[in-house]
Amino acid sequence: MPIIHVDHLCKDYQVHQKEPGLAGSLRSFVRRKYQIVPAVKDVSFEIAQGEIVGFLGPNGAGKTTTLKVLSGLLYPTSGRASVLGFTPHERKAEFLKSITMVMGQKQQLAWDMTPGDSFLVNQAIYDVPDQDFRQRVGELTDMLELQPVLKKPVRKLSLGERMKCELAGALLHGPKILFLDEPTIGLDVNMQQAVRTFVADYNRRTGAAVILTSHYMADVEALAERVLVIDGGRLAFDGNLSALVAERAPNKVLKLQLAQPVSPERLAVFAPVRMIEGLTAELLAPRGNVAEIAARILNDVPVADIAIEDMPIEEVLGRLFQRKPMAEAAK
Amino acid sequence: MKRHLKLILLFIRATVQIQLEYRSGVFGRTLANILSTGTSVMLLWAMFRQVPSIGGWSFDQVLVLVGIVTTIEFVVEIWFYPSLSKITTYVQRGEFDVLLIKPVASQFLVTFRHLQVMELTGLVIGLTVIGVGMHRVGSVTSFNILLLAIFLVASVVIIYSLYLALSTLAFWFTRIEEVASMIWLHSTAGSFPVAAYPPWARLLFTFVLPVAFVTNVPAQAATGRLSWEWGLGALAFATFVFCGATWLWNLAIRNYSSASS
Amino acid sequence: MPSFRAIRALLALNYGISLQYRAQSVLWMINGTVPLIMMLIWLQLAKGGPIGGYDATTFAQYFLFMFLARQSTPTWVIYLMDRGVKNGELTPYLLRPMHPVWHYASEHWGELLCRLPIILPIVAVGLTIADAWSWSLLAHLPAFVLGLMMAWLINFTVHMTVGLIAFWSDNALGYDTVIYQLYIMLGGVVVPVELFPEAVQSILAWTPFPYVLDFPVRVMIGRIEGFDVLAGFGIQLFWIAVLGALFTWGWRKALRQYSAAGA
Repeated sequence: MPIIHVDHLCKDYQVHQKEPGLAGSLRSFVRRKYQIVPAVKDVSFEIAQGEIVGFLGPNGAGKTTTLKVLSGLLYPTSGRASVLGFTPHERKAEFLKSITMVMGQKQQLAWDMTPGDSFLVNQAIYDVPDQDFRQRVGELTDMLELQPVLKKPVRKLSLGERMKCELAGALLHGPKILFLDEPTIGLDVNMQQAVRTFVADYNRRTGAAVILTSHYMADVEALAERVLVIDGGRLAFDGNLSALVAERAPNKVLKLQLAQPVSPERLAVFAPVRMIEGLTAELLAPRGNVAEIAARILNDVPVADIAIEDMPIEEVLGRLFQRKPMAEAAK
Repeated sequence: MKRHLKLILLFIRATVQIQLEYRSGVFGRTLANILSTGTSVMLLWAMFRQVPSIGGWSFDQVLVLVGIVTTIEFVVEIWFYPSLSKITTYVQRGEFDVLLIKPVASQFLVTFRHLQVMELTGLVIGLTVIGVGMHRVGSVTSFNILLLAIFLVASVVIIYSLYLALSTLAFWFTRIEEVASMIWLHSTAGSFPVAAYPPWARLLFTFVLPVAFVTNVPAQAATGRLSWEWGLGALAFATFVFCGATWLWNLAIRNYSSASS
Repeated sequence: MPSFRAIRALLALNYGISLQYRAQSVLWMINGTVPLIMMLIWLQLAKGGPIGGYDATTFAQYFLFMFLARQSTPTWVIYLMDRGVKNGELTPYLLRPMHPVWHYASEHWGELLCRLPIILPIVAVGLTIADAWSWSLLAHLPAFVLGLMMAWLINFTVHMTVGLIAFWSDNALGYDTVIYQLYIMLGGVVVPVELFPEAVQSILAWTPFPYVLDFPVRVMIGRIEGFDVLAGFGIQLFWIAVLGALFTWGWRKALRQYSAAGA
């Protein structure tokens, strides 16, 4: 049962243009030029209860814009968005109480107070009954291991601790939808892992839908079965991650561990060589006959070990996005 | 020296570019400038309707004082405020190291980095009011103008030094952004002859918040009423606070470098 | 309208924050000493006899309560709105089921709670030094407090409304100074409004400025009495309604603009 409907959504921004240099500044001082920059163009999709969906795309592709439309921060230029039956930009209190948004780059906890203080404020703002509040704080504290930091002022926390507190603070009212915008940005690998595990757990426990954008492919890989690829404001792909790889990466990677040095020319007979370095080599084999190629290599070349892998997603997407000039994807 | 001049010009150019971005700010601040001087003149007018003189000064003499306050306010607004109030920000965000590794004296950098020479309204209004006042007093002579110029420079030096010293405190107390805005007090307190205050306040306004030197002395110079004691006093005070502030700055930098290594 | 509980929680939070910035509070206060400086001057001037019906005691009372009134109604909401728009700090507030105005207002109230314990003794000491205590002050206190609360609302709404400029212009802060100057000039901070010429006074009566600071102070020192007090409250209410409506209308437009620029 879908809880988010997005129907031919478009969103344009008004950006004022500045020419470089002093003369340019003077000109734009006298007459300011505005440019309409389309950020999201005709995007449609639906998201169901309990889904975890990852938005993928290069910088400025329109991921965050879509997220902001869904959370009611932006008015769509045209098209429709409906979330839990509400029109987001009307910003009804009831709607706002059933969603939450965590922005990796924007802080919502009061800087000079402890996370506990901010939690109390959130409790009051979101009208959370005492019992629910205590229970959720307890749960979240356990899941995120917050016990040691709850009583420290936020400004004294590390980036990772702060993000965990942000997450906890954003979930106290038991939202049905989580919008996570770059939730792991700037965190170290362990902390990224912790946040991922938490989000997955939370989704499983509460059945809340999670919509996240991230630069880190690992986030999306670990969490989202379904991805929406947004590129240049358009929806370029909607489906599960492995289908994306299958569709966009016709080749598999054959990783060879050679028993003795082999010249690149000799390997190129079987399939295009992706890289060769000492005794390690990688070939690109078309999906369909990868097994046959592997068999031939094993016959003809001294191979110590062989492995068949998918192309790393980063690379698949990198190639996907390269085709389009970045200029048109300005925010 | 030549390199420094060139740097100052480059800094000005950069700030002008930034300011042009914020065009509506220009309008708002110009309006504020006019209103601020208008306020003072109107206030004087209302006061002089009730009394013949304030602290022994006539309306026209106080008018010169108002012009001087406006002029100095202008200097603070386009120069000291944008430059020196950033010190606190630099320190808080730990961006100060970026300044320290530059091969130019840090005091020079913080002083001249953000000179916003775009808005000359304040200067125009200030000088006009001084001119009108001097004309009405009948003290427009080249000697008086020369004296006025000298003592205006001394005032600017005093204000600069105090502002720098207060901002320097940021190195020790990182959370006091507003400290330096105390400087603005001079524009209210300084709009009146120091003689108009009760005796204890006169002492306060001479040595602690030195509006006597900053506004009263130039006004007396412009109206041909400056005694040599006050003149020398102002020059000595300016030299003293400038050396003091520079010393404090260097001390702060030394502390900062040794603490943050 | 958020629940009482939500407001109380926000207030507690902001009170806590303000307590940590005590040093800053003190400095704000130093900057708000204009009425005290003016008091010194007027007291010296009044040594030659009463001026326009104000003798030394009246001047002392007027400016001490003016000081109190200024210190109870300061607002930096234009600064907050400007920063909110520029850095996008407004965005998280918009996600909450509560109008951002409540965040801004409670920040001011929290600060005020920190400030009053310092301000009130200063006023008390001032009244003592100037020998200006009188029983009538006590009788006027309730009306003064009510007038101040309304004054706070007028002032806050004026600033909020002007602060909407931040959504369209890169620098709304300049207007903060403009309003400040208008208050100083027209609001009685440096010259009691009664000492202005009649003509000026009658023009001022059409603006909100004398109703923010001068009105409650004059009520306190007993220079407005009887029916005029009620009329003054009425005019205060009028301004709150007008400015409130203006703000509500502008806020809706402002949100659209914020959205157009990317929130």
